Amino acid sequence: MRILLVSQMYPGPDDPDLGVFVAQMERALADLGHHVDRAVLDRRAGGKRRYLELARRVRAAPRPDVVYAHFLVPAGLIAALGQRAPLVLTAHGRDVRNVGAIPGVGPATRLAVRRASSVVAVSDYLRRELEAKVPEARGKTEVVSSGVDLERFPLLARADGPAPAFVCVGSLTPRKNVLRLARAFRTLGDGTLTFVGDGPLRERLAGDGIRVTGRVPHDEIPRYLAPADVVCQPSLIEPLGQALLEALACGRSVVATRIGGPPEFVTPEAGVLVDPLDEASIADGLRLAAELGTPNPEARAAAEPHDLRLQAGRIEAILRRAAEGAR
Amino acid sequence: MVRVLIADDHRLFAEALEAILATDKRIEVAGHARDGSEAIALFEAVKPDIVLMDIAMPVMDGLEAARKIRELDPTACILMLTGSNAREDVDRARRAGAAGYVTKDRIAAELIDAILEVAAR
Repeated sequence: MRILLVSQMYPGPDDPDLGVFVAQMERALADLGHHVDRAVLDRRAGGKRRYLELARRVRAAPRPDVVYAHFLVPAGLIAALGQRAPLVLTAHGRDVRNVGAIPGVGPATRLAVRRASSVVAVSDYLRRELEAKVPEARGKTEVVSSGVDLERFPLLARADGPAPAFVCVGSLTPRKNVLRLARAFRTLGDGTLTFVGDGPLRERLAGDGIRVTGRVPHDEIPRYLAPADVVCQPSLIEPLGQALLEALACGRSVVATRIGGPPEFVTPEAGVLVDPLDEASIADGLRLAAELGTPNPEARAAAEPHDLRLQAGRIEAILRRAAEGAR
Repeated sequence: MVRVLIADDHRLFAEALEAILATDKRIEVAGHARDGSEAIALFEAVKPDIVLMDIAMPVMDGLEAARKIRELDPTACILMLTGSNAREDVDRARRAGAAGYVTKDRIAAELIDAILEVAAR
């Protein structure tokens, strides 16, 4: 198939961490023998004018058999209006949360979804939210996670270092609940906590056994997981939990929010689900997860159903069905 | 160059539509109105070749605005943007004086051709 990949997030020279899950699925589809053209934005900067550029790239792309767009609005809407080929949309989380929260997003999303042959939600939690907010998605939405590359995130032996070592991978924003995680960690009185990421809360985190690395290229994440015992993501909401899947693949137990997608793949043997609003629940989670052992083969087993190649096969089937439906 | 006025109260949709139309060198977006009343005022101010008019808008709907624009200028070209191709919507658009209609989920396939075809009449 000739696939046109459309996304407002894609890794670029200035933002190598942007939309890595989109790029990895693109590679997996190419590995399956498909020709993938790209109409993407690979930087955060640029404001709304970036979307004019995205529209230009969508319109200039060679006619595909199917358009595979990531994020319902604006990328999905631009793809819906700019290319006449069958359309498959992927909802990632914030795009669904914006429906009803930001004026105009609801009607724009409904239009894009109406135009789509199929919609992919990265978790069942997200599918339910999408179908509740956008009735047009009912009956055409399937759940396929972004997947984790089990070769790039292999089962890792524990590297030397202090224990217990907790790591949190992600942006340092209120949604990631990093301040509450830091406070919960401090109540343990033991171990280290490393934040691998950057964001507006950075200055309020470092000190007392807590380290902040700043933004790290996606390829280097396993290097930060090797000396870790537990990876923590007690976010206020996590539509899927990509960093959790990657940690599990490396055999690291996790402390995960119970709000969103993580309950769909974090088994009791692989990690602990916590109430993100309850500091004591997070602290208990840290203690319990540290006792699960490193590396934890059950964590790896929890990640395996989300193997990128399996997910790419499912996406391929959805894209093929959309493309063939138009013939 | 065909000059187009977009009349649609959904800002994100109108911006995305403008971005798509801006990629075609034969078309220029001359303005964007958020309701029917503003569409009439902008029509008089910018004198577009074509008005892309949503039917459902606040203050004054697109059908009423189309009728008033055609009273002001019987040669005005109006393409209605409809949510569906329901017979009732199509009939109402024609009675309001629209030169044609495009359903919103057929924009990628039909809109630019429709604009150029109506402009050439």
